[in-house]
Order: sequence, then structure tokens, then C-alpha cells
Amino acid sequence: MVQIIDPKYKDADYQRQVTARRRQKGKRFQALGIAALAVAGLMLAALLYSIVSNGARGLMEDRIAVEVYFDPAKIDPKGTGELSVMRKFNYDTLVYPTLYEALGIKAKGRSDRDKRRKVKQLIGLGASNQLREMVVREVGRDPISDEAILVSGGTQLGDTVMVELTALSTSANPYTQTLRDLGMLHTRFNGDFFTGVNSNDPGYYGILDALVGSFWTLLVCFLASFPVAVLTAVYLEEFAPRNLITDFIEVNINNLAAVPSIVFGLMGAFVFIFVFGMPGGTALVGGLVLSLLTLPTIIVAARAAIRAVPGSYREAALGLGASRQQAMWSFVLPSAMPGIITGTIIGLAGALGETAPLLFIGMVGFQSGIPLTPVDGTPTLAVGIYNAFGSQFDELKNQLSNSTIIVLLVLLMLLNGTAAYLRYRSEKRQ
Amino acid sequence: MLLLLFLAALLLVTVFAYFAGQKRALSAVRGHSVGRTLSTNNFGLAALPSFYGQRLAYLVFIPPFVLLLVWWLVEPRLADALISWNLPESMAGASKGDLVGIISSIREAAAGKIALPSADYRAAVEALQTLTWVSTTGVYLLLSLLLLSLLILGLATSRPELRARRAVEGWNRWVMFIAASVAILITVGIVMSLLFQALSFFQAYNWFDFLTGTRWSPGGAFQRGYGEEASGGVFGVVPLMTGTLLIVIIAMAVAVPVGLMSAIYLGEYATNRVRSFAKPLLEILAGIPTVVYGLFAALTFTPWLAAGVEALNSVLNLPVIRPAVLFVANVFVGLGNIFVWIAGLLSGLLSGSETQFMSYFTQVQLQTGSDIALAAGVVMGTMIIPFVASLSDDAIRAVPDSLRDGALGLGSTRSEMMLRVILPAALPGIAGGVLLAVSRAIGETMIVVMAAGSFAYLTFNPLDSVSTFTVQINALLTGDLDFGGTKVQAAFAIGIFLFFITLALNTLALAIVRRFREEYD
Repeated sequence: MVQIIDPKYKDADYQRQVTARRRQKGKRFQALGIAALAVAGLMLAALLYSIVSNGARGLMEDRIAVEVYFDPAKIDPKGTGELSVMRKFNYDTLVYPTLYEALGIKAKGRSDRDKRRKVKQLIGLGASNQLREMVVREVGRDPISDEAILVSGGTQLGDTVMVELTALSTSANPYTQTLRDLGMLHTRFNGDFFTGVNSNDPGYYGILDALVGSFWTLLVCFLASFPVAVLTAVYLEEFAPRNLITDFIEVNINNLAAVPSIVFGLMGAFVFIFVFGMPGGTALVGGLVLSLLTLPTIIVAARAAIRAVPGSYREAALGLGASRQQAMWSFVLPSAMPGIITGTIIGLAGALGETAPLLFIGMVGFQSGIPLTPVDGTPTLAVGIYNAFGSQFDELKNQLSNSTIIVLLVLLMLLNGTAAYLRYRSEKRQ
Repeated sequence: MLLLLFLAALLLVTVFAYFAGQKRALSAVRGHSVGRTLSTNNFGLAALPSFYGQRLAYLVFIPPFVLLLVWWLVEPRLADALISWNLPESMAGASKGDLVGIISSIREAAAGKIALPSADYRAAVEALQTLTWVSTTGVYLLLSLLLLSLLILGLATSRPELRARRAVEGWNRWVMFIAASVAILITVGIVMSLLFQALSFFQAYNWFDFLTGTRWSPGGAFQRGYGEEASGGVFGVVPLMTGTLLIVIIAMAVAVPVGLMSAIYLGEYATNRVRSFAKPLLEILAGIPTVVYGLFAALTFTPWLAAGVEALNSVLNLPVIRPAVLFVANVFVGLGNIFVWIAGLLSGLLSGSETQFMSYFTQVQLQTGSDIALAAGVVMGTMIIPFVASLSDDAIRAVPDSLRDGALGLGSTRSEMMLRVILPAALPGIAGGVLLAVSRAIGETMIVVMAAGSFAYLTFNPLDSVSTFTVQINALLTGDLDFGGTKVQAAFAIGIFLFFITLALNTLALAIVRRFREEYD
């Protein structure tokens, strides 16, 4: 007789040992599973920590309160009183002497040169514009001579005014803390971030143009993809004959869902901008490119939603004498609408976060104010994140980039939350 | 301007036609004895009144709209053709650059911006002016006439016995079919635009050099002035292939074990409470936009990793460890040098060239740059974890319960059941999922654009900076889009490469998954 079982197993102790070892192995395997989840959780925690800690800083800004003497001898040394002369002056130089004095830095000489540079970094370029606007403002351009039309900003030369300036304080700059201790610097909510537009100056950077641009882009994307997707879904589910063309359409839709988004960007740049001559960098082109990405998503969701409508709806309509199309448009499609809209919202949420295909249609680095129509050049929020991203060492820009991410993630949460709510409601009703 | 006005008018007339069609149909039967016959409904009409409206709306909208679309596509080409027909004979031999200048001056003269440059071009300018008049005024006059006559024709034919519903539903089908064909149109658009540019690239650049070249240096403003870069750049994709491969391997090394183990744990072991927060965790990871991952990789994870490598350096340089590390490393170098020596002996017999030995390590110092391939890869892997997890979950669920029950019934523990029965059975499905994940990783753009390097070094060192296909497409297409330039065309050449690689991977993955599914049915 063939010995199937190793005689060792007849020993109860050995059996127990083996079982214990096998259980031990199972425990280890289970621990691996926990470890995998822990890795995923840790990465997510690190990601969120990085966004929130940097982004929260970008939502606040430091302001320096400083007394500025508008010195006529510096601004208009010849005493001409002409606004065009006053306009040429670098107004930020008015601020430094006061700050040097407060910080105990020598205004001249080699020894304190590094310290002076640090103070200048704190003030940035925007301050000069802000002070200039107080003295002289450009209200427009002469249509014939193209010269700036200047008016007085209200402040007279020789005045001493208390001014608040945005401080570009980085963690590496020691004077932020010193000025705070002196009571000259305080932190407040960064309102410019929500009312300003894309700018190279971190002190005045804002995302309003990107927000409006995202809205236009999503609107175009929705208008371009939703009708086409719903009609396609209806056709494929209900009316398409089973033939080669229909099969080919299905294969194409499946493939489109798998094409890397960067390829859509290449195609969009070539077809929309080069062949059709549409204006680059606009929400129109951006929305059209993104609609190529959302199209498969909405088609798949719409088909599932149409398929989920009970057949009795259709049969009841047909039984009452409706044609197949009447049954579709009046009964099946309206009942499938919650599902279709849920899928559409998820598709649009994806489009809101999409960046790669928008890189090549001229949205990067666009600075032109708030887009009033879809054919104005604009970035979107996601492109804004990339725009603000400078380098590893540009701390302020990176904070703003992270703040933009916070806004984007909040919007995504709202969109996905709406979709989840709609799904929940339609599930409850059934 | 006139275009918008006309479109608005078209829409208004269409809406009007919808109501007029209904009214007309109803008024045709009013006064007659209304009753049901075999071919009519309660209104005495062959279809519901709204179908008469829809029919008329279709009738007035579609022909003018289609004609307008055709004109909009044809007009620019017609302008080019008109100019070249009417150019004087003497211009036949002019160079391409001259022609472009002349054509643009003719256009400006026709628009009235400049005076007529020369009497020779009078014919061309006048032809262009006629065309401009036609495209701004004539076309709209003609289309308005067409619109009106269609409206009248449609109203005249809206008789009660007309089968309006059948007509409308027939058109509806066509509209639906055209909508469905958009998917084909997009694919054709992608392939055509990529091919068009890529083919002109390969006319200027040898495709063999492109595929086998080990140097990628497209040449920018900063690199101009020496060697081949001055003449338009060197495009060899091998460094991009190795770079992409390196990052994809790192990403998969993170995503596959973590994603697979998460799926197994969530499907087999997790209590409902664990599942209720672990599932959303994976969903959040999946829902975060890639640009966010990119920023994290570039600004946070890369410095962390660099700090980690520094720490590792100091550990490796501890008194006992340092000699051990040097010893192990130099043993490998020594083994390699023996190999080099043998190879040198062999080739020395043939060619007599000198052998180059590898130098031995004298210090332990891992070096990182400002961009680290490992960082981009790990973050990309994190992004793909939920993708792998959900596909593995599908594959594991597809294994019939009878296998599970059988294994447990024979006395195996749950981990043995998982490792020896379920996973082998689910392996093809998981492999398909991994292939899909690889294709996603290859096409992923933002993470590598922001966190991997822009210089394409030919290296496999994960602590170095490497470049990928997508990074280079972005680098080549940033700035002015010059569709005639080699750089832009090179981007499209990589694009088509990328398109077909991902297409092949997806097809392969779907084929594997499908085959696997059939096994238990």
C-alpha cells in the first residue's frame, strides 16, 4: 500500500506544529495586506499634508505697514510737476530707508549688502506699482498717438502716507519675524488670491481668471460632448443594426477611452488650431479637446443607464401604440436621465482636473485678465497649478500652486458629491 | 459678425418653422369633419401635430446649415486657388519665400489695408475681392433665399395625409448615426493628424536613426551653435525608451504589489469597518488629478527622497558598514573586470584594441540630482494603485466560488486558498490589468513633466534624472507652434509611437482578459 501521508503526521504534536506554522503564514499574508493598505494610506496622507500645509500658507499673506514719504527731490528732482516724469520713478526705493532704519541695517556700504538684498526680496516688484498708482495712474491710451493718458492718483509729492504692502516673506527670510516682532508686519487672509488674475508677481497672484476659464471650458466641453454622447448611447443601445459599421463604432469608442490624454492634446492642437484656425489658448479649443476625453465616459454611463431602465417601460409605451422612437424619447430616456447626468458629472470632474492635453493649445502662461467669453485666452484651474509651479526653490509660487490645488479639490469634491447624491437618490427611488 | 447674425436668424426661423408647421397641419384639418380613419389620428392627421412642426424645422434648418459648413471649409482653399490662378505668368518661377510674401501683400491689398503693389497683381486682387464679397454678402443672400423657399415649400407640403412622423424619425436616425460616427471621426482625426506631421518628420529625418539613435537632443535656443544641434537637432528615441521603461518599472514595482495586496485584503480579510474607510481611500487616490500628483512629486517627494538618500549615505559610511559596502561593490567590479579581461583577450586576438577596465570604488556616496526618476516613478505608482486594485478585484471576483469552497473544504487556510488556488486562476486577469496599468503609466504626462528631467540621459540609475516620451512631447510643443518645424513634427512622431504602443498594450490586455473569462463559462 502506498503511504500517502507522511508518517510524521501521525504524531499529534507535529501536526499541531505544522498547523501553527500554516496559521502563522496566513497571519503574515494578512499582515502584508494591511501593510499594502498602510502604504496607500501613508502616500495619501503625505500628499494631503503637503497640499494643506503649503496651500494654507498661500491662502494667507503678509502685509507690511510702513510710512512712506513721497520725496519730491527723488521722484521729480527738477520740479517739472509732469505726471509722465513721476511715472518713471522706481517707487519701491521710497520704502527701503524706513525699513533699513527699523531693522538697524546700514543704508550704504558693503558690509550690509546681503541684508539689504534680503529686505528688497521681501518687498518685490508689485509694491512699486502700488505706490506709483497712488501718485499717477494710467487710465487709457490715446487712440492716435498711442500715448498713455495719465491722471493724478490723489497723493501729492511731499505727502507722508501710511501704506500697506504685500510682503513676499519666505521661510528663509529672517526679517519676516523681526518685522513681525516690531509690529510692522501682520498676516491676513489673501483676498487677492480669489480676486486677482495670473501674474508673475506672487504677491498679486490670483485664480479668478482660471476659475472663470474653467467654467467656460467645462461649459464648452459639456455642450460639445453631452448631446453627441447621449445620441450615440441611444443609437447603440436601441436602434443600431448589428453590422460591421456598428461594431467598428463600438471598437472606436473603447479605444478612445484608452488613448493617453496627451495624444488628444496633439490632435487638438493640429486639428482645431492649425487646420480650422481657431484661436489658441481659449476655452473654446480647450473645451473641445476635453470633450474628446469625456465623450467615452458619458457614452458608457449613458448606455448603462439606458440598459438599466426596466423593459416594462418600453413595452408599455409600445403597447399603447407609441413608435420605438417615441418610447425612447418620452419614456426610457427620461427615466435614464439621473444615471446619465451622474456619469456626465463624473466625466466633467475628470475634465476639470485634466491638464496634459491643454498644455499644447496655448493655455500655459496665459496672462490677459478675466475671460469674458469662451473665445478669450485663458488658463483653467488645472493649468493654473502648472503655471504657478516654478521650481523646487520658488517657495511662494509653490504655496500658491498648492492653494490652487485646494480650490480644485474642493470643486472636485462638490462635483463628485453631487454625483454620489444623485446616484443615492435614484437608487432609493427604485 | 454676419455669420453670427445669420446663425441666429437660422435658429429663429427654425423655431418659427416648428410652430408654423404644427399650426399649418392643424388648420388644414380644421373645419373638415374630424374623425378617425385608418390612416389618421383624432386630429384627422397622419401624425401628431408636433411631428409636422419637427419636420418643417428639420427641413429649413439642415440644408442651409450644411451648405454654410461646406462653404466655411471650402472658402480658405478657394482663396488660395484664386490667387495662384490669377498670378501673372512671370511669377511661375518665383521661389517659395517670395510667393508667400506676394500672396500676403495681395491679401492685404484686397482687404484695402495697403495700395495695390503692382499692376501685375490687379487680376488676383480683384478676384479675391469678388470672393470676399461672395463670402461676406453673396452667400448669406443666397442662403436666406434658400431658407425662405424651403419654408414656403415645407408649408405647402404639410398636408394632413403627409406621414410626418415617419419622415422625422428617419431623420432622427440619421442624426443619431452621425453622432455615433463622431467616435470614428475622432480616431481618424487622431491618426491622420499624427501621421501627417510624423510623415513630414520622417522625410527630413531617417526613421532608422530615430528608432535606434542613442542621443536625444532636439536643440533649443540654448544649445544652438555647435555640431548637429545647430542644424536642427538629434532625435534618437532610445534614451526616451529607457527613461520611460525605468519610470514605468518603478511605478509598477509600487503599484502592483500594493494594489494587488490591497485588493486581496479588502476582498478576503477586511471587516466591514475597515472596508468602509479603505475603499474611499482608494477612490480618493483615483480621483486626484495628475497635475496634483505632479506637484507633490516635484516639490515634496523629491526633496524627501534626496534627504533620505543623504541619510542612507551617512549610514553607509558608518565605520563597520563602509568597508563592507566597498568590499561588496568592488567584488562586483572585480568580477566585471575579469569578464572585461577575457573579452579583451578574445577581441585582442581579432583587432588588437586596448581593454578598458572599470575603476574600483574608493568612496561610498549615492548621488542625486534635482530630478530623481525614483520619485516620479513612486508617485506615479501611487496614482496607479487604485487602478490595479480595482482590476485585480474584478479578476479575483471572476474566479468561481466553487474553487474557493473546494480549497477551503480540503482544509487549506485562507492564505493557502488565495495563494495556491485563487491567484493562479485569476492570474491572466491580473496580468491583463497590469498591462492596462502599464499603458496608463506610459501615457501619463503631468507627473513626469513636473518631476522627471527634461534632459534625456541614457541611464538606468533610478537616482538619476531621466526623460520620457511625454516629457519630450511637452518640451517640443511648448512655445510657438510651428507646424512646419522639425521639432513640432518630432513631437507628433513620438505621439504616434505612443498612440500605437498604448493601443497595442490595451488590445493585448483585453484579449488576455477576454480569453480568461471564457475559461469558466
